[in-house]
Amino acid sequence: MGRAESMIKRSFKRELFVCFVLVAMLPLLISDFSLLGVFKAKLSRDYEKDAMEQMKNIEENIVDFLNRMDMTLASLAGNDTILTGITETDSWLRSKAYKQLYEETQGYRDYAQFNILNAEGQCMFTTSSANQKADLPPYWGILKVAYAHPDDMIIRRAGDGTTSSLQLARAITVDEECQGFVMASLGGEHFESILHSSYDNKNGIAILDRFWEDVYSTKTTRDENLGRTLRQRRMSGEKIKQTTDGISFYIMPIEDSGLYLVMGKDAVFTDDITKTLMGVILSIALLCMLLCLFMTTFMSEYLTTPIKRLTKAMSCVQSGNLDVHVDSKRKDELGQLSADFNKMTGELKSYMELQVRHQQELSDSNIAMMQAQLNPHFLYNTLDTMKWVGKVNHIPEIAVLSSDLAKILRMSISEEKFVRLSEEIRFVNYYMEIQQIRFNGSFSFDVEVPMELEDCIVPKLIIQPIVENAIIHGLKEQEEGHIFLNVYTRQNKLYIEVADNGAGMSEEMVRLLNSRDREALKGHIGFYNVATILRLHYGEEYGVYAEPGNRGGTKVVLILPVDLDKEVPDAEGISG
Amino acid sequence: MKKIVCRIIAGLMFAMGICGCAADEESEDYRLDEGQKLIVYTSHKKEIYEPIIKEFEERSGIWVEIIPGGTNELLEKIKFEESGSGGDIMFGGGIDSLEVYSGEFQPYRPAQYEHLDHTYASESDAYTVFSRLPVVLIYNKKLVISAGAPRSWEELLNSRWKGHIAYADPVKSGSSYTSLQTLIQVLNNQYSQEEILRNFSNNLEHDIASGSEEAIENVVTGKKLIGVTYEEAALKRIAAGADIGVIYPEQGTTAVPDGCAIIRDAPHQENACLFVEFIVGEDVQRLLEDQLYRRSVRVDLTRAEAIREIPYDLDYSGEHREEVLALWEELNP
Repeated sequence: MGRAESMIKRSFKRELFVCFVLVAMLPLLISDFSLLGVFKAKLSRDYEKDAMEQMKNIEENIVDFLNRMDMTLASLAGNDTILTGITETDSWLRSKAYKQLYEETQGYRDYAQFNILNAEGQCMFTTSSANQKADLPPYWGILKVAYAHPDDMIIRRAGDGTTSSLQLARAITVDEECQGFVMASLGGEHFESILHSSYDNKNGIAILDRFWEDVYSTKTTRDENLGRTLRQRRMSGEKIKQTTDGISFYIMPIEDSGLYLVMGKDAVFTDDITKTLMGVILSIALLCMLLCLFMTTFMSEYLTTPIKRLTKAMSCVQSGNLDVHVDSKRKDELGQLSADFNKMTGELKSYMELQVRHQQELSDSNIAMMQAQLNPHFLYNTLDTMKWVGKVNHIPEIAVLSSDLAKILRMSISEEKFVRLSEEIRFVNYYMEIQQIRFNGSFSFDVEVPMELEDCIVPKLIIQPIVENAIIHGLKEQEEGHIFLNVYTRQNKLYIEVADNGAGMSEEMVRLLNSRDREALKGHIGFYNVATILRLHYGEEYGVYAEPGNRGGTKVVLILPVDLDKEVPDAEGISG
Repeated sequence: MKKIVCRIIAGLMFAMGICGCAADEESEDYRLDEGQKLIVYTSHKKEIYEPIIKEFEERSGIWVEIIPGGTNELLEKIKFEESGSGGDIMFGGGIDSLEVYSGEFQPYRPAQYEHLDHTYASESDAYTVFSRLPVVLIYNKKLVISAGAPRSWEELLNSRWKGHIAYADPVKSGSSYTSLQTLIQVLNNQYSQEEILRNFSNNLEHDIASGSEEAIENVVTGKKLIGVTYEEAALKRIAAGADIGVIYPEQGTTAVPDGCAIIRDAPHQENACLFVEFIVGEDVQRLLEDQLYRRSVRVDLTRAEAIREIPYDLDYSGEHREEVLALWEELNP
């Protein structure tokens, strides 16, 4: 059981098959068999009813006949002529008695044989044509009973093993003294005449006596030896009717005669009919089974195919292929599932692409920075030499320029990614010193940083490119240029504002700068890089925004989170 | 889940079963009460037991189940059957056989015991005698004139009948052994047992019938002239038209009765007692004499032709059985 169960449960198809078979076969078989049972019961009831009607008919016939026989025997017993014939030996009187017997039994002799016995049981007169000896001992059997009950007709079976008959007897009494007996004997041929046409000849009947011994039976029932079988069953306490019987039979007592009537009919359900019905049931069951098999195959295909496809697609996804797409035209839950799967892979794919793009952007800026690296020691040394040459030759500008440049260079190539805001601003100051020398002091530069913000941690080199832009683009061709660097916090965000009073920029340019479009910002790579660094480090809500300044010019705002916690070791070279 | 399904199926099957059975209930009205039954083992022939048992049924209302068989076969069956599981009464069988198995029987003395012949009555009341069966000589009336027919037992040893005697093998036939013992017991004062057997065997010329029916048949057909058999068998053949004569030997003859016995722990013991009373009753005993060619065991039933009877020594017969039969087989290989 357990093994079969686990066998079934291991496959969806098998589970489905078992369910289908249960659902299809169980009601079918139950209804078939109960129908068969009901049909059988109904048929046997009809059968029984029919048999009972016929048996009632037979019973009436027999009872009627016995009543008439009773009257006949009574009148014979009371007939003086016959009585005289018994006691007298005179042949003329005897002949008269015989004549009387034949007259009295007129019309009955076809149905019975009549005997007149004297008190010793010797047969005096008989209507039998055969010259049988019909003497009976008066102390025995029917005569003894007739003697004891002179007012009744006694009914007894007589038989000698091969033939049997029914005997009726009545004592002839005169003054309470038994003078003889009148007897009637009903053999097989007599019963045939009596019962002729009172039942369907196809059925066999048997008349049994009080002890269920055959009195009369038609050919069919005699062949079956029905009386003996029934008696045997009753004796041994078996069921009277048994399922193995080839015929069904019905038993009925015949009023108070002590006789029983048995009617045997061909069994309601012959083997043939049962076989045919079973055949039909089995073929239907087979058909159902095939249908179940077919439906199982179809349904399991129908259900498992999309699941299998999903599973396959899922394994594709697991191995990294996000281009899979599950096609399903179905509108049911499984179709929905496929659609959801497709949607999920689509989203996963675009997320992955985004990740890749971020990575690429980061490495692009790295590459750009690395390309910017010359051999730094050569540059330091050269710049140092330039500083000393400037000092020796009393050209202080060269000394300042080369010293500042060396500091900027060191800071820009240091490995540190984050610096204190104060460092960053110092860096911007070095840069501005150089630019003021370059542009011959044609602009001024102011910085306003609250003390408490000086320790803020910011990515390095984010202010310089903006300031550079302001000098190159904003103060182009400007006589009195001014660049103002203002740092403040608002709503827990760090704002670094670079404003100039230069030419300002067109609205299109503002939109371009804020668009984050790498291609469009080709000429403004510094701006773009700063924006990207901020966004990648801190997320989408941070970045760089350009806007027209309050009094002309341009204002560029860097927005960062306020980060005072991070401990950043002082970058050597910058402070030193 | 599965259990529930199983239960539903079982329930439906049960309901269907009930529908199927309902129709059979009426036939249970015909169930017989145990008190209405009697099981009779009988070794009698059908023509004997049938009218008697039928009449018993009619008078008592008791249903009798008849199990016919040979005497020894039935007695063995009784011996080896678990007590109380088989029959109620053994009807038939010579009292010598019944005596051997007396331990298997329930002692019972019928109310009419005083009316019965006590010659062969059981000391322990193990059995009750039923009918007397005299051994007689028969002759073919066509081939032997009445005056020339044998008159005494000695004639069986007379060379005059050499090769003309019909006789059944006593090894196979119980009645034949009884007649052989009768011969021995009658002639024992004149000859020794061995002389009797030797002379008789010699007279038979080893032509021995296999059964008592065949022995009578041989006389009826004229193959043999005279024979030894039971009176009942002879009279029955005569009534059926056979032209044979019966001789009651002048010394007299034995009439060993057969009997019936109630089996120990019989399931229907009361009915069995009723049956015993019935078969020794006047009516059955009269019927035996009137119609069944047997002799009554009742002393109050007079029979026209009484026979001269000599006692049969049951003890002697039983004691010498092995010895006699061994010698017989030796003489008649």
